[in-house]
Amino acid sequence: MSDLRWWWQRARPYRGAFALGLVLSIVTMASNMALLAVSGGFIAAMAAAGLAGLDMNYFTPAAAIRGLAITRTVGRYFERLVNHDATLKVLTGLRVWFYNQIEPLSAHQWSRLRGGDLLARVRSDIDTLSGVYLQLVVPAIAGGLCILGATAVWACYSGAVAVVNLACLVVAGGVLPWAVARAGEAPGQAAVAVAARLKSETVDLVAGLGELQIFGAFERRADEVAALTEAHLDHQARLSRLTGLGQAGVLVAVNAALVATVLLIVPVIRAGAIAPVDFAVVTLLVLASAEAVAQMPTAWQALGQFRAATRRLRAFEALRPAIIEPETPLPAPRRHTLVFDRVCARHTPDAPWALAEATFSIAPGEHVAIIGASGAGKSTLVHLLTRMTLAERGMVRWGGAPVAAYDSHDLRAALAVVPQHIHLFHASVADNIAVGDPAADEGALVAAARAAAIHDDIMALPEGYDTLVGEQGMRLSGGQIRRIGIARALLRRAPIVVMDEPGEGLDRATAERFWQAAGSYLAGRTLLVVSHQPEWVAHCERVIVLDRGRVVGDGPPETLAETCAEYRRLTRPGGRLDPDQKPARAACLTLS
Amino acid sequence: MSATTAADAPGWLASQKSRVSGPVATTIGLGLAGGLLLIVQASLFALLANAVIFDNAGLARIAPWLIGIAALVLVRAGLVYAAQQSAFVAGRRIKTAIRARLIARLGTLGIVWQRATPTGDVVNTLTDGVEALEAYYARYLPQSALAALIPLSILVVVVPIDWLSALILVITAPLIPVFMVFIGRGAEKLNQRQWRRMGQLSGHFLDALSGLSTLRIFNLGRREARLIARFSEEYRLATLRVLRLAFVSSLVLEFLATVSIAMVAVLIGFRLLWGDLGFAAGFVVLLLAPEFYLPLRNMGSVYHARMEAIGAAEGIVVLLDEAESGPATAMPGTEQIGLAAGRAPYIELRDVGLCYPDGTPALRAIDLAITPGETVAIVGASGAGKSTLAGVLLGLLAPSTGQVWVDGIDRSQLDAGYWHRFCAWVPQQPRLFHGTVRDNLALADPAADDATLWHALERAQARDFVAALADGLDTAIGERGLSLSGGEIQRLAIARALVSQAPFVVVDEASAHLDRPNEVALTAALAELGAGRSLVVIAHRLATIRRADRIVVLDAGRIVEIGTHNRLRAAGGPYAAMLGEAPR
Repeated sequence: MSDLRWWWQRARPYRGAFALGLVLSIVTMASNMALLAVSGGFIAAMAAAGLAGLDMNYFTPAAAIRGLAITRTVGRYFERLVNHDATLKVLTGLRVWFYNQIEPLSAHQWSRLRGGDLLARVRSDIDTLSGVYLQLVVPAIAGGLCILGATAVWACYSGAVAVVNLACLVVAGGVLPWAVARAGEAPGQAAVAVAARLKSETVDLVAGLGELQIFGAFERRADEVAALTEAHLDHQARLSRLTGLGQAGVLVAVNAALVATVLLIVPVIRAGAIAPVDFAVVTLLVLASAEAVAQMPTAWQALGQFRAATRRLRAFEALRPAIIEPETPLPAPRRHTLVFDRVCARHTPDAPWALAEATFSIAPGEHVAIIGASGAGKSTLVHLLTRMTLAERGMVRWGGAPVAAYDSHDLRAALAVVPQHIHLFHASVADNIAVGDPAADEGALVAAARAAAIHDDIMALPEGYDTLVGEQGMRLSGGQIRRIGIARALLRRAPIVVMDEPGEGLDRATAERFWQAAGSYLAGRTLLVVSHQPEWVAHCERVIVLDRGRVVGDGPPETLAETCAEYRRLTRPGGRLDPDQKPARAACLTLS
Repeated sequence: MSATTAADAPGWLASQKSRVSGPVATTIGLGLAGGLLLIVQASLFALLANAVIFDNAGLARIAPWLIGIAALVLVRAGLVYAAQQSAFVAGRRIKTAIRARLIARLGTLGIVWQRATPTGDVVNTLTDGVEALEAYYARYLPQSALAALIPLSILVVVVPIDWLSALILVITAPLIPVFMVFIGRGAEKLNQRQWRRMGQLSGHFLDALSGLSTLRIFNLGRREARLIARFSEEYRLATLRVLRLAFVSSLVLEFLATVSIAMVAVLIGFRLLWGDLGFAAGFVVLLLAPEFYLPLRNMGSVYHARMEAIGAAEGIVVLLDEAESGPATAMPGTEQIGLAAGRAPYIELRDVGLCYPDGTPALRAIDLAITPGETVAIVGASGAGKSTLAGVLLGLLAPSTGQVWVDGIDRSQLDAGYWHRFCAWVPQQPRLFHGTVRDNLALADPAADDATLWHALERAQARDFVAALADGLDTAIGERGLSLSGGEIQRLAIARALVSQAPFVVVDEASAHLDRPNEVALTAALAELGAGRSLVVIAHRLATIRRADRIVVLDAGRIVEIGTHNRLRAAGGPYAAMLGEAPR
């Protein structure tokens, strides 16, 4: 039950709504049971009075019947509304909870969690958990209390009837569904596991469509999805059989209560201990109590799904953020000097160093290019700077003190970063640029877009700045996405600008336009450009060369060209064909 | 997504009925049989109650009735079980059939569509969307039939017993569907909008999670938590607006049903008092009254299931529609003969043009021949049409104009699967599929043995790092698996192409700079790939381009130059300009 306790901790803030929903559920259920029992008693009494030729007080029961009918009707409406409201509140709470669990994790922890299927599973697990209240808590508590109430009524007529009916209803609402749920645990868990696999296979099928077709593997993968569908359905079939058994069992148990009640109450009536008309009250209450146990089987089955979902979500709780904020952070420094002092960092404890013994210092306002091949440690350097990952040895200093002494929030406020992978959100272009500074006005937004040389491209889009971009910025080219990322960073007006491969996908003319437009903006700001393209490096007065995690060169380009072999290799003219440079139009000759 | 396709969803759901007419009919039959037996049971019980209350009957006298009731209960239990199973079969059949159909359609949609559509949406339609269809066929269809049949059967019994109660039932019952349709219409419209809104809000949650590092770097992490809370809250309020209306329909149902039972009870009571009616007759009517309304009452929740199914069907209909109206299948043909097995065909593009769905041309008047065994490099600025040309060569994209001829056959006559046996592809960002290294390598040939795989890895310069993995070929990779570097993934994809033994390979070179060892390895791997095959490389590295037999320079969808490195450089045209600061 510790899973339920865990759920309760998440759901506690909404206990007011829960309590109200529960009370309404109980009132609704009880009034229907009472309606049938009172009606039975009423017509039996009226028939008896009619036969005896007597008059009777029919106002009270008739009014009670109408009152119960109204209570039932209105109660049901509000019960459903309140309970659905509570469920949605839990959904919000769980989403925020999950986000808060994930948000402080380091770049490495996070990269291990990423992936469409995992996130999609998290989403459906959260949906499952938010349904717990409606599917499990309400039926169990309201049903249980109503059965106890009915038992008390039966006890007024016959102790034996009360005991036998309670037993039958406990079987119908407790034992049977429990057994069914227990038997359903294995197929239930299996169904959830298969559904998760089905999802990830489907992701592969959709995202890898082209490759699968070319390699003739689409059919095979599609068959695998079909096989998983079958496996999923087989598990569901087992669950469905159990559901059927449960429903049949409840029907038998409730009617067994009816037959037992008749057997027990008839001798009591014959003995004259209770009036014959009470037979109608007692037996109709048995039939009416079926409602109290009707939802129990689904409740017990929901419990199985709930547990599996809880277990998976609780695993996220165990993840401790690798990056811990200082308790009393230093105020942000005035001078933005950046110092790497013998810094070593790696992705996992047994991996080779991604950055080894890196030592350098960058003065405020300096423009520095960091170059190196892929895997040289450039991205790790950027992660260390933004405190998305931690140095295993050595120290990264900002304005004199280690970055760990400051609030990360202050650090990142001083940084404008163009990451290597630019995530475009499923929102408008304007919203995507505004990620840099959500408070920026339209003028600032357009100015940033102009500085990033993307304004004209945006105006050419069907709806300009209001154009929606898809999951991966579908309609935009790599270069356009990159320039949106640059505009995003420029919008921040932060003292330190870090650009990770800003030239990827940009032709030389665009790059030149960018330098012209952004030149005055960058003057006086610290600039770190991670790039391998000569025209980006050329704009920096200083270059740091990385090779497999080590700083192998640091100085002005002219010096490095003479002293550093790796620098020469990386910047060798013609060593690489700039893929994104547009040939001069004038020189175009159309062959064919 | 157009409004018409969304409105088609209910029609589409109904049109699929024929797939499951058998199990649905069985479910209805079993449900009806159960309902009829319930009427018999109620009658027996009324007679029993009459005997106990008014005739002072003992157990011996009521025993036959009691035994009858017990027997009926057992039969009804069997029927309930059977109905549940046949309803499940209906759901099962529909889910299997629709998912298979959607996946088959997926195959015809091709990569243009795939790149323009969020993967998550399609995956949701294929998984949760299909799952949600069950409710319509397993619950809505049988229950709505029973909602007509069972009340009617009860009415047939009640009319001769007590016309006044029957009258109340007859008057109130039709009001229920009328109200339901009346209110349901409005709720349905709201609900369809709601489903989309829910999709957007769920999408926002996922989008925020996948863009988390961006949010953090811009100090928006905390703000996003508030946004998630706010959007979820908006979703809650919007949902409640729908539910307030949707639940009004069930309120009316509940009101009519419950108050009618109360009226029937009170009226029967008075007629019993006045002696107009026998107790057994009155009692059986009271017992049957709730059963009369029960199926109608359930319609509220069943209707809800229907609306959810409609919401899910919208996505499915859109996907099926796109398959029909979307870009033509790249290779609609069926021919499976004509090419020499294992030998690279002579590929000829004749006046090939291709327009994106929005009408902008991606390729114009491309004339290009790939002779067997040659290595062709395609270069050009981003957006020049390099990837599109590769897609056309591979048969993943259909030319809008012109034809592709292979060994003298119009390729559109060929079966796509047949053609693809001759092709391999190394995309710029190869996808690692869920599974092991072995699964990924053996994509084209699941029967490939370890020796073949290791040999391919060796030639792709990938042997060392695979051998260093904990479980070698059996190491799990893919989204949840081990992470490999970009250079390693690229070489794994080259090994995959080598395993396939296809004679025609298209490589989309990664544009990132590699370190010295990786660069050397990639060059060697590509050389292996080009040996004995036709190789088309979208090239970014000079080392690759220099080795090419011919270089094709693309600009704005046109071929502007073709030739060898030396010739083109000497020509001083676009290619020479592209080399830029490489004057020699």
